[in-house]
Amino acid sequence: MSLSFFIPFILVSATSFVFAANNIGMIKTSFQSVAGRAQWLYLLLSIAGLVLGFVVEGYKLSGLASGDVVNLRPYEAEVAMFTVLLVMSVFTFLRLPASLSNVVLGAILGPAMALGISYDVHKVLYVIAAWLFAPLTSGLLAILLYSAYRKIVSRMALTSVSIFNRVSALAITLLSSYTLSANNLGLLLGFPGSGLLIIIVPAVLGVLLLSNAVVSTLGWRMAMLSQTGYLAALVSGSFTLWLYTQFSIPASLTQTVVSGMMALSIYSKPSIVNYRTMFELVGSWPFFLFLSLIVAYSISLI
Amino acid sequence: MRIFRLGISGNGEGVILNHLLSHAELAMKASVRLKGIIELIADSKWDEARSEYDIIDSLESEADEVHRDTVEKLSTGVFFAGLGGDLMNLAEKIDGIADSAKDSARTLIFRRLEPSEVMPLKDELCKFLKSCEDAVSSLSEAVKAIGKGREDVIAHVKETEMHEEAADETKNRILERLYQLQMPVLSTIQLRDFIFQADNVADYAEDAGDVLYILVAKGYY
Repeated sequence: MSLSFFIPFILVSATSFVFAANNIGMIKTSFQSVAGRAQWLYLLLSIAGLVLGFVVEGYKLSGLASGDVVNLRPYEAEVAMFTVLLVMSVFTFLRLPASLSNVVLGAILGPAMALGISYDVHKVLYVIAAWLFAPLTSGLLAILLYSAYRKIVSRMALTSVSIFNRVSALAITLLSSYTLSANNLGLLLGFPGSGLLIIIVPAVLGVLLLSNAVVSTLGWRMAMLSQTGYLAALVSGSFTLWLYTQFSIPASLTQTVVSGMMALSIYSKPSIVNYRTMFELVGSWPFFLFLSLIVAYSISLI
Repeated sequence: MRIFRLGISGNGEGVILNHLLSHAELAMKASVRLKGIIELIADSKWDEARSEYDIIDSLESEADEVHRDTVEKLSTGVFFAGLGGDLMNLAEKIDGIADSAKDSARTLIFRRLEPSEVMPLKDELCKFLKSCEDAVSSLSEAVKAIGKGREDVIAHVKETEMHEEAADETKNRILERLYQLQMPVLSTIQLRDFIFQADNVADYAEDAGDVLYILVAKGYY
Protein backbone atom coordinates (compact mmCIF):
# COMPACT_ATOMS: atom_id res chain seq x y z
CA MET A 1 0.00 0.00 0.00
CA SER A 2 1.48 3.34 -1.01
CA LEU A 3 1.61 6.45 1.14
CA SER A 4 -0.85 8.19 -1.15
CA PHE A 5 -3.49 5.74 0.01
CA PHE A 6 -3.26 7.14 3.53
CA ILE A 7 -3.19 10.82 2.59
CA PRO A 8 -7.00 11.35 2.57
CA PHE A 9 -7.31 9.68 5.98
CA ILE A 10 -4.48 11.73 7.42
CA LEU A 11 -5.91 14.98 6.05
CA VAL A 12 -9.42 14.33 7.33
CA SER A 13 -8.34 13.18 10.78
CA ALA A 14 -5.84 16.03 11.20
CA THR A 15 -8.51 18.56 10.17
CA SER A 16 -10.96 17.05 12.62
CA PHE A 17 -8.34 17.30 15.38
CA VAL A 18 -7.54 20.94 14.65
CA PHE A 19 -11.21 21.86 14.23
CA ALA A 20 -12.10 20.46 17.67
CA ALA A 21 -9.14 22.20 19.29
CA ASN A 22 -10.14 25.49 17.72
CA ASN A 23 -13.92 25.47 17.95
CA ILE A 24 -14.58 23.85 21.32
CA GLY A 25 -13.24 27.08 22.82
CA MET A 26 -16.60 28.64 22.03
CA ILE A 27 -18.40 26.03 24.10
CA LYS A 28 -15.86 26.35 26.88
CA THR A 29 -17.20 29.79 27.74
CA SER A 30 -19.93 27.89 29.55
CA PHE A 31 -17.30 26.21 31.76
CA GLN A 32 -15.48 29.34 32.73
CA SER A 33 -17.02 29.76 36.14
CA VAL A 34 -16.51 26.18 37.27
CA ALA A 35 -13.30 24.61 38.40
CA GLY A 36 -11.72 21.36 39.52
CA ARG A 37 -13.59 18.12 39.00
CA ALA A 38 -16.56 19.84 37.35
CA GLN A 39 -14.36 20.93 34.44
CA TRP A 40 -14.00 17.28 33.52
CA LEU A 41 -17.73 16.77 33.54
CA TYR A 42 -18.18 19.64 31.09
CA LEU A 43 -15.39 18.29 28.93
CA LEU A 44 -17.00 14.85 28.88
CA LEU A 45 -20.32 16.40 27.90
CA SER A 46 -18.62 18.27 25.07
CA ILE A 47 -17.20 15.00 23.80
CA ALA A 48 -20.55 13.23 24.16
CA GLY A 49 -22.20 16.07 22.21
CA LEU A 50 -19.57 15.87 19.47
CA VAL A 51 -20.09 12.12 19.06
CA LEU A 52 -23.90 12.31 19.19
CA GLY A 53 -24.18 15.27 16.83
CA PHE A 54 -21.91 13.63 14.28
CA VAL A 55 -23.64 10.24 14.43
CA VAL A 56 -27.23 11.50 14.49
CA GLU A 57 -27.20 14.48 12.11
CA GLY A 58 -23.73 14.73 10.63
CA TYR A 59 -24.83 13.20 7.32
CA LYS A 60 -27.04 16.25 6.59
CA LEU A 61 -24.03 18.37 5.65
CA SER A 62 -22.02 15.69 3.89
CA GLY A 63 -23.28 16.72 0.45
CA LEU A 64 -21.63 20.14 0.36
CA ALA A 65 -18.28 18.85 -0.89
CA SER A 66 -19.67 15.85 -2.74
CA GLY A 67 -22.24 17.17 -5.15
CA ASP A 68 -24.47 19.83 -3.60
CA VAL A 69 -22.13 22.69 -4.49
CA VAL A 70 -19.40 21.01 -6.48
CA ASN A 71 -18.38 17.50 -7.39
CA LEU A 72 -14.64 17.28 -6.84
CA ARG A 73 -12.43 14.44 -7.97
CA PRO A 74 -10.27 12.76 -5.29
CA TYR A 75 -7.13 14.83 -5.96
CA GLU A 76 -9.08 18.12 -5.99
CA ALA A 77 -10.86 17.10 -2.81
CA GLU A 78 -7.47 16.44 -1.23
CA VAL A 79 -6.32 19.91 -2.23
CA ALA A 80 -9.45 21.35 -0.65
CA MET A 81 -8.92 19.30 2.52
CA PHE A 82 -5.26 20.30 2.69
CA THR A 83 -6.29 23.96 2.42
CA VAL A 84 -8.83 23.54 5.21
CA LEU A 85 -6.20 21.89 7.41
CA LEU A 86 -3.63 24.58 6.65
CA VAL A 87 -5.94 27.54 7.35
CA MET A 88 -7.44 25.98 10.49
CA SER A 89 -3.98 25.06 11.81
CA VAL A 90 -2.56 28.55 11.28
CA PHE A 91 -5.46 30.18 13.11
CA THR A 92 -5.39 27.66 15.93
CA PHE A 93 -1.65 28.29 16.28
CA LEU A 94 -2.41 32.01 16.46
CA ARG A 95 -5.08 31.21 19.09
CA LEU A 96 -7.81 32.75 16.99
CA PRO A 97 -11.17 31.14 16.30
CA ALA A 98 -11.76 30.06 12.70
CA SER A 99 -14.94 28.79 11.14
CA LEU A 100 -14.73 25.41 9.43
CA SER A 101 -17.87 26.09 7.38
CA ASN A 102 -16.42 29.29 5.86
CA VAL A 103 -13.07 27.65 5.22
CA VAL A 104 -14.56 24.50 3.64
CA LEU A 105 -16.74 26.46 1.22
CA GLY A 106 -13.79 28.55 0.06
CA ALA A 107 -11.56 25.47 -0.17
CA ILE A 108 -13.95 23.55 -2.40
CA LEU A 109 -14.60 26.54 -4.64
CA GLY A 110 -10.86 27.16 -5.12
CA PRO A 111 -10.06 24.01 -7.17
CA ALA A 112 -13.39 24.31 -8.99
CA MET A 113 -12.56 27.83 -10.15
CA ALA A 114 -8.93 27.02 -10.92
CA LEU A 115 -9.68 23.92 -12.93
CA GLY A 116 -12.91 25.04 -14.57
CA ILE A 117 -15.13 22.57 -12.76
CA SER A 118 -18.75 23.67 -12.68
CA TYR A 119 -20.27 24.54 -9.33
CA ASP A 120 -23.74 25.49 -8.19
CA VAL A 121 -23.69 29.29 -7.98
CA HIS A 122 -27.22 29.40 -6.59
CA LYS A 123 -26.30 27.10 -3.75
CA VAL A 124 -23.22 29.21 -2.96
CA LEU A 125 -25.32 32.39 -2.92
CA TYR A 126 -27.94 30.61 -0.82
CA VAL A 127 -25.28 29.69 1.77
CA ILE A 128 -23.81 33.21 1.80
CA ALA A 129 -27.29 34.71 2.21
CA ALA A 130 -27.81 32.38 5.15
CA TRP A 131 -24.55 33.57 6.70
CA LEU A 132 -25.74 37.16 6.37
CA PHE A 133 -29.05 36.29 7.98
CA ALA A 134 -27.63 34.12 10.81
CA PRO A 135 -26.42 36.94 13.09
CA LEU A 136 -29.87 38.51 13.04
CA THR A 137 -31.64 35.25 13.95
CA SER A 138 -29.14 34.46 16.66
CA GLY A 139 -29.14 37.98 18.10
CA LEU A 140 -32.92 38.19 18.35
CA LEU A 141 -33.16 34.72 19.81
CA ALA A 142 -30.51 35.56 22.42
CA ILE A 143 -32.50 38.61 23.55
CA LEU A 144 -35.73 36.60 23.74
CA LEU A 145 -34.05 33.81 25.70
CA TYR A 146 -32.35 36.22 28.05
CA SER A 147 -35.60 38.09 28.73
CA ALA A 148 -37.41 34.82 29.38
CA TYR A 149 -34.63 33.68 31.69
CA ARG A 150 -34.82 36.88 33.71
CA LYS A 151 -38.58 36.47 34.08
CA ILE A 152 -38.19 32.85 35.20
CA VAL A 153 -35.48 33.48 37.79
CA SER A 154 -36.80 36.79 39.15
CA ARG A 155 -38.94 34.99 41.72
CA MET A 156 -36.43 32.29 42.54
CA ALA A 157 -34.04 32.25 45.50
CA LEU A 158 -30.41 32.98 44.66
CA THR A 159 -29.51 29.41 45.66
CA SER A 160 -32.06 28.05 43.17
CA VAL A 161 -30.82 30.44 40.48
CA SER A 162 -27.33 29.11 41.04
CA ILE A 163 -28.47 25.49 40.70
CA PHE A 164 -30.57 26.39 37.64
CA ASN A 165 -27.56 28.08 36.01
CA ARG A 166 -25.29 25.13 36.72
CA VAL A 167 -27.68 22.53 35.32
CA SER A 168 -28.41 24.78 32.33
CA ALA A 169 -24.69 25.16 31.65
CA LEU A 170 -24.38 21.36 31.52
CA ALA A 171 -27.32 20.99 29.13
CA ILE A 172 -26.09 23.86 26.96
CA THR A 173 -22.60 22.37 26.75
CA LEU A 174 -24.13 19.17 25.40
CA LEU A 175 -26.44 21.04 23.01
CA SER A 176 -23.72 23.31 21.64
CA SER A 177 -21.21 20.56 21.00
CA TYR A 178 -24.00 18.46 19.42
CA THR A 179 -24.96 21.15 16.90
CA LEU A 180 -21.35 22.14 16.27
CA SER A 181 -20.51 18.55 15.45
CA ALA A 182 -23.67 17.90 13.38
CA ASN A 183 -23.12 20.95 11.23
CA ASN A 184 -19.34 21.36 11.04
CA LEU A 185 -17.88 17.90 11.52
CA GLY A 186 -20.60 16.65 9.21
CA LEU A 187 -19.00 18.73 6.45
CA LEU A 188 -15.91 16.50 6.56
CA LEU A 189 -18.04 13.47 5.63
CA GLY A 190 -18.13 14.72 2.06
CA PHE A 191 -14.36 14.29 1.63
CA PRO A 192 -12.50 11.15 0.62
CA GLY A 193 -11.13 9.14 3.52
CA SER A 194 -13.83 10.27 5.94
CA GLY A 195 -15.54 7.91 8.35
CA LEU A 196 -16.93 7.78 11.85
CA LEU A 197 -13.74 6.86 13.68
CA ILE A 198 -11.45 8.80 11.35
CA ILE A 199 -13.31 11.98 12.27
CA ILE A 200 -14.54 11.40 15.81
CA VAL A 201 -11.40 10.01 17.48
CA PRO A 202 -9.16 12.95 16.41
CA ALA A 203 -11.95 15.40 17.34
CA VAL A 204 -12.11 13.95 20.85
CA LEU A 205 -8.32 14.14 21.11
CA GLY A 206 -8.45 17.76 19.93
CA VAL A 207 -10.92 18.61 22.68
CA LEU A 208 -8.86 16.85 25.34
CA LEU A 209 -5.42 18.07 24.33
CA LEU A 210 -5.79 21.53 22.83
CA SER A 211 -9.18 22.95 23.63
CA ASN A 212 -7.84 25.78 25.78
CA ALA A 213 -6.20 27.35 22.76
CA VAL A 214 -8.80 29.96 21.83
CA VAL A 215 -10.85 30.28 25.01
CA SER A 216 -9.30 33.53 26.16
CA THR A 217 -10.25 35.42 22.99
CA LEU A 218 -13.84 34.34 23.24
CA GLY A 219 -14.25 34.71 26.93
CA TRP A 220 -12.51 37.85 27.97
CA ARG A 221 -11.32 39.96 25.10
CA MET A 222 -14.77 40.29 23.67
CA ALA A 223 -17.28 41.24 26.33
CA MET A 224 -17.89 41.15 30.05
CA LEU A 225 -21.27 39.45 29.94
CA SER A 226 -22.79 37.64 32.90
CA GLN A 227 -22.62 33.87 32.91
CA THR A 228 -26.30 33.85 31.99
CA GLY A 229 -25.59 36.15 29.06
CA TYR A 230 -22.96 33.74 27.75
CA LEU A 231 -25.33 30.83 28.14
CA ALA A 232 -28.19 32.62 26.35
CA ALA A 233 -25.82 33.48 23.50
CA LEU A 234 -24.63 29.87 23.32
CA VAL A 235 -28.20 28.54 23.16
CA SER A 236 -29.25 31.04 20.51
CA GLY A 237 -26.11 30.36 18.47
CA SER A 238 -26.52 26.61 18.80
CA PHE A 239 -30.20 26.71 17.93
CA THR A 240 -29.51 28.81 14.83
CA LEU A 241 -26.80 26.34 13.82
CA TRP A 242 -29.16 23.40 14.39
CA LEU A 243 -31.82 25.10 12.26
CA TYR A 244 -29.29 25.55 9.47
CA THR A 245 -28.29 21.90 9.79
CA GLN A 246 -31.88 20.91 8.99
CA PHE A 247 -31.57 22.81 5.69
CA SER A 248 -28.08 21.40 5.03
CA ILE A 249 -26.52 24.86 5.27
CA PRO A 250 -23.05 25.00 6.79
CA ALA A 251 -22.71 27.78 9.36
CA SER A 252 -20.35 28.97 12.04
CA LEU A 253 -21.07 28.53 15.73
CA THR A 254 -18.50 31.22 16.53
CA GLN A 255 -20.34 33.76 14.41
CA THR A 256 -23.83 32.87 15.62
CA VAL A 257 -22.79 32.86 19.27
CA VAL A 258 -20.86 36.11 18.96
CA SER A 259 -23.92 37.67 17.29
CA GLY A 260 -25.97 36.61 20.28
CA MET A 261 -23.36 38.12 22.60
CA MET A 262 -23.35 41.37 20.64
CA ALA A 263 -27.12 41.64 20.78
CA LEU A 264 -27.11 40.96 24.52
CA SER A 265 -24.32 43.44 25.13
CA ILE A 266 -26.36 46.13 23.47
CA TYR A 267 -29.59 45.02 25.16
CA SER A 268 -28.35 44.62 28.74
CA LYS A 269 -26.90 47.73 30.36
CA PRO A 270 -24.36 48.42 31.67
CA SER A 271 -22.11 46.41 29.39
CA ILE A 272 -18.41 46.29 28.67
CA VAL A 273 -17.92 45.27 25.08
CA ASN A 274 -14.96 45.08 22.76
CA TYR A 275 -16.96 45.87 19.63
CA ARG A 276 -13.88 45.70 17.44
CA THR A 277 -13.16 42.08 18.35
CA MET A 278 -16.86 41.25 18.04
CA PHE A 279 -17.25 42.77 14.60
CA GLU A 280 -14.03 41.09 13.51
CA LEU A 281 -15.45 37.70 14.51
CA VAL A 282 -18.96 38.18 13.12
CA GLY A 283 -17.69 39.73 9.93
CA SER A 284 -14.85 37.23 9.52
CA TRP A 285 -16.69 34.91 7.15
CA PRO A 286 -15.72 36.75 3.93
CA PHE A 287 -12.12 36.72 5.13
CA PHE A 288 -12.07 32.96 5.77
CA LEU A 289 -14.03 32.27 2.59
CA PHE A 290 -11.67 34.24 0.36
CA LEU A 291 -8.50 33.21 2.17
CA SER A 292 -9.22 29.50 1.74
CA LEU A 293 -10.49 30.09 -1.80
CA ILE A 294 -7.26 31.83 -2.78
CA VAL A 295 -5.06 29.21 -1.07
CA ALA A 296 -6.94 26.29 -2.65
CA TYR A 297 -7.02 28.05 -6.02
CA SER A 298 -3.25 28.63 -5.91
CA ILE A 299 -2.45 25.04 -4.86
CA SER A 300 -4.70 23.68 -7.62
CA LEU A 301 -2.70 25.56 -10.22
CA ILE A 302 0.63 24.10 -9.08
CA MET B 1 -22.69 10.11 46.19
CA ARG B 2 -20.45 10.80 43.25
CA ILE B 3 -23.04 13.08 41.62
CA PHE B 4 -22.77 15.43 44.62
CA ARG B 5 -18.99 15.48 44.41
CA LEU B 6 -19.13 16.41 40.74
CA GLY B 7 -21.27 19.38 41.66
CA ILE B 8 -24.35 18.60 39.60
CA SER B 9 -26.78 18.61 42.50
CA GLY B 10 -27.83 21.63 44.49
CA ASN B 11 -26.37 20.33 47.73
CA GLY B 12 -23.38 22.67 47.70
CA GLU B 13 -25.36 25.91 47.55
CA GLY B 14 -27.32 24.87 50.65
CA VAL B 15 -24.13 23.98 52.53
CA ILE B 16 -22.53 27.34 51.71
CA LEU B 17 -25.68 29.23 52.65
CA ASN B 18 -25.83 27.40 55.99
CA HIS B 19 -22.21 28.31 56.63
CA LEU B 20 -22.93 31.97 55.92
CA LEU B 21 -25.97 31.85 58.18
CA SER B 22 -24.03 30.28 61.06
CA HIS B 23 -21.34 32.88 60.53
CA ALA B 24 -23.83 35.75 60.66
CA GLU B 25 -25.51 34.28 63.74
CA LEU B 26 -22.19 34.00 65.57
CA ALA B 27 -21.40 37.61 64.67
CA MET B 28 -24.86 38.54 65.93
CA LYS B 29 -24.35 36.69 69.24
CA ALA B 30 -21.03 38.45 69.76
CA SER B 31 -22.43 41.93 69.07
CA VAL B 32 -25.50 41.42 71.27
CA ARG B 33 -23.22 40.92 74.28
CA LEU B 34 -21.62 44.36 74.03
CA LYS B 35 -24.61 46.02 75.65
CA GLY B 36 -24.30 43.55 78.53
CA ILE B 37 -20.70 44.58 79.18
CA ILE B 38 -21.67 48.26 79.44
CA GLU B 39 -24.50 47.44 81.83
CA LEU B 40 -22.25 45.25 83.98
CA ILE B 41 -19.54 47.93 84.18
CA ALA B 42 -22.15 50.52 85.12
CA ASP B 43 -23.33 48.14 87.87
CA SER B 44 -19.76 47.66 89.12
CA LYS B 45 -19.82 43.98 88.13
CA TRP B 46 -16.30 43.95 86.77
CA ASP B 47 -15.71 40.19 86.93
CA GLU B 48 -18.93 39.43 85.10
CA ALA B 49 -17.96 42.01 82.48
CA ARG B 50 -14.67 40.13 81.97
CA SER B 51 -16.56 36.86 81.61
CA GLU B 52 -18.76 38.48 78.97
CA TYR B 53 -15.60 39.45 77.09
CA ASP B 54 -14.39 35.84 77.27
CA ILE B 55 -17.66 34.68 75.76
CA ILE B 56 -17.36 37.26 72.95
CA ASP B 57 -13.78 36.12 72.41
CA SER B 58 -14.81 32.49 72.00
CA LEU B 59 -17.72 33.44 69.72
CA GLU B 60 -15.27 35.35 67.55
CA SER B 61 -12.94 32.34 67.39
CA GLU B 62 -15.87 30.15 66.41
CA ALA B 63 -16.81 32.70 63.71
CA ASP B 64 -13.24 32.53 62.41
CA GLU B 65 -13.51 28.77 61.99
CA VAL B 66 -16.81 29.03 60.13
CA HIS B 67 -15.26 31.75 57.96
CA ARG B 68 -12.36 29.47 57.07
CA ASP B 69 -14.72 26.62 56.17
CA THR B 70 -16.88 28.90 54.03
CA VAL B 71 -13.92 30.23 52.08
CA GLU B 72 -12.60 26.69 51.59
CA LYS B 73 -15.95 25.52 50.20
CA LEU B 74 -16.27 28.54 47.95
CA SER B 75 -12.78 28.23 46.55
CA THR B 76 -13.67 24.93 44.85
CA GLY B 77 -15.61 27.19 42.47
CA VAL B 78 -18.33 24.68 41.62
CA PHE B 79 -21.22 26.18 43.57
CA PHE B 80 -22.62 29.69 43.19
CA ALA B 81 -20.73 29.84 39.88
CA GLY B 82 -19.53 33.34 39.13
CA LEU B 83 -20.47 34.59 42.59
CA GLY B 84 -17.73 32.91 44.61
CA GLY B 85 -15.61 36.04 44.96
CA ASP B 86 -18.55 38.11 46.16
CA LEU B 87 -19.61 35.45 48.64
CA MET B 88 -16.06 35.38 50.00
CA ASN B 89 -16.25 39.14 50.36
CA LEU B 90 -19.57 38.76 52.20
CA ALA B 91 -18.00 36.23 54.58
CA GLU B 92 -15.11 38.65 55.12
CA LYS B 93 -17.50 41.46 56.09
CA ILE B 94 -19.45 39.20 58.43
CA ASP B 95 -16.17 38.21 60.03
CA GLY B 96 -15.43 41.91 60.43
CA ILE B 97 -18.56 42.22 62.59
CA ALA B 98 -17.37 39.53 65.00
CA ASP B 99 -13.83 40.99 65.02
CA SER B 100 -15.15 44.49 65.79
CA ALA B 101 -17.37 43.17 68.58
CA LYS B 102 -14.36 41.48 70.13
CA ASP B 103 -12.08 44.51 69.67
CA SER B 104 -14.57 46.90 71.21
CA ALA B 105 -15.19 44.59 74.17
CA ARG B 106 -11.45 44.26 74.70
CA THR B 107 -11.09 48.04 74.80
CA LEU B 108 -13.51 48.11 77.69
CA ILE B 109 -11.85 45.43 79.76
CA PHE B 110 -8.21 46.48 79.17
CA ARG B 111 -8.57 49.19 81.79
CA ARG B 112 -11.05 49.31 84.61
CA LEU B 113 -13.59 52.08 84.07
CA GLU B 114 -15.41 53.55 87.04
CA PRO B 115 -19.19 53.11 87.01
CA SER B 116 -19.48 56.86 87.51
CA GLU B 117 -17.65 57.38 84.23
CA VAL B 118 -20.02 55.11 82.31
CA MET B 119 -23.30 56.07 83.98
CA PRO B 120 -23.78 59.49 82.27
CA LEU B 121 -23.51 57.78 78.87
CA LYS B 122 -25.15 54.45 79.71
CA ASP B 123 -28.59 55.04 78.18
CA GLU B 124 -27.23 56.54 74.99
CA LEU B 125 -24.59 53.81 74.75
CA CYS B 126 -27.23 51.11 75.14
CA LYS B 127 -29.33 52.79 72.45
CA PHE B 128 -26.29 52.96 70.17
CA LEU B 129 -25.41 49.31 70.76
CA LYS B 130 -29.03 48.31 70.16
CA SER B 131 -28.86 49.98 66.73
CA CYS B 132 -25.62 48.12 65.97
CA GLU B 133 -27.27 44.89 67.11
CA ASP B 134 -30.34 45.59 64.94
CA ALA B 135 -28.11 46.25 61.93
CA VAL B 136 -26.47 42.84 62.39
CA SER B 137 -29.83 41.19 62.99
CA SER B 138 -31.22 42.63 59.74
CA LEU B 139 -28.11 41.52 57.92
CA SER B 140 -28.57 38.01 59.30
CA GLU B 141 -32.14 38.05 57.94
CA ALA B 142 -30.83 39.29 54.59
CA VAL B 143 -28.36 36.40 54.43
CA LYS B 144 -31.20 34.00 55.28
CA ALA B 145 -33.21 35.55 52.44
CA ILE B 146 -30.59 34.36 49.90
CA GLY B 147 -32.51 31.09 50.17
CA LYS B 148 -35.88 32.84 49.72
CA GLY B 149 -35.99 35.59 47.12
CA ARG B 150 -34.46 38.76 45.75
CA GLU B 151 -37.08 41.12 47.21
CA ASP B 152 -36.55 39.74 50.72
CA VAL B 153 -32.79 40.20 50.47
CA ILE B 154 -33.16 43.81 49.34
CA ALA B 155 -35.74 44.64 52.02
CA HIS B 156 -33.49 43.36 54.82
CA VAL B 157 -30.43 45.11 53.42
CA LYS B 158 -32.41 48.37 53.46
CA GLU B 159 -33.25 47.72 57.13
CA THR B 160 -29.56 47.16 57.82
CA GLU B 161 -28.74 50.54 56.28
CA MET B 162 -31.44 52.21 58.32
CA HIS B 163 -30.09 50.78 61.60
CA GLU B 164 -26.55 51.74 60.66
CA GLU B 165 -27.64 55.32 60.07
CA ALA B 166 -29.41 55.35 63.44
CA ALA B 167 -26.25 54.00 65.08
CA ASP B 168 -24.23 56.77 63.41
CA GLU B 169 -26.52 59.49 64.69
CA THR B 170 -26.45 58.14 68.24
CA LYS B 171 -22.69 57.75 68.06
CA ASN B 172 -22.27 61.43 67.20
CA ARG B 173 -24.47 62.46 70.12
CA ILE B 174 -22.50 60.23 72.52
CA LEU B 175 -19.16 61.60 71.33
CA GLU B 176 -20.38 65.16 71.76
CA ARG B 177 -21.50 64.36 75.28
CA LEU B 178 -18.33 62.39 76.07
CA TYR B 179 -16.05 65.33 75.30
CA GLN B 180 -18.07 67.54 77.62
CA LEU B 181 -17.80 65.22 80.61
CA GLN B 182 -15.26 65.83 83.32
CA MET B 183 -13.32 62.57 83.62
CA PRO B 184 -9.73 61.34 83.32
CA VAL B 185 -8.35 61.71 79.80
CA LEU B 186 -7.56 58.00 79.65
CA SER B 187 -11.18 57.12 80.35
CA THR B 188 -12.30 59.52 77.63
CA ILE B 189 -9.90 57.92 75.16
CA GLN B 190 -10.95 54.45 76.24
CA LEU B 191 -14.66 55.17 75.81
CA ARG B 192 -14.06 56.95 72.52
CA ASP B 193 -12.12 53.95 71.18
CA PHE B 194 -14.88 51.64 72.35
CA ILE B 195 -17.49 53.72 70.51
CA PHE B 196 -15.47 53.77 67.29
CA GLN B 197 -14.85 50.04 67.38
CA ALA B 198 -18.45 49.23 68.24
CA ASP B 199 -19.50 51.47 65.36
CA ASN B 200 -17.47 49.20 63.08
CA VAL B 201 -19.97 46.45 63.94
CA ALA B 202 -22.73 48.41 62.20
CA ASP B 203 -20.39 49.58 59.45
CA TYR B 204 -19.37 46.01 58.61
CA ALA B 205 -23.03 44.99 58.61
CA GLU B 206 -23.75 47.78 56.14
CA ASP B 207 -20.74 46.77 53.99
CA ALA B 208 -21.99 43.19 53.98
CA GLY B 209 -25.36 44.54 52.85
CA ASP B 210 -23.63 46.27 49.94
CA VAL B 211 -22.07 42.95 48.94
CA LEU B 212 -25.54 41.40 49.04
CA TYR B 213 -26.72 44.07 46.58
CA ILE B 214 -23.87 43.06 44.27
CA LEU B 215 -24.78 39.39 44.66
CA VAL B 216 -28.39 40.10 43.75
CA ALA B 217 -27.36 42.22 40.78
CA LYS B 218 -24.93 39.61 39.49
CA GLY B 219 -26.95 36.53 40.36
CA TYR B 220 -30.12 37.50 38.55
CA TYR B 221 -28.62 39.10 35.43
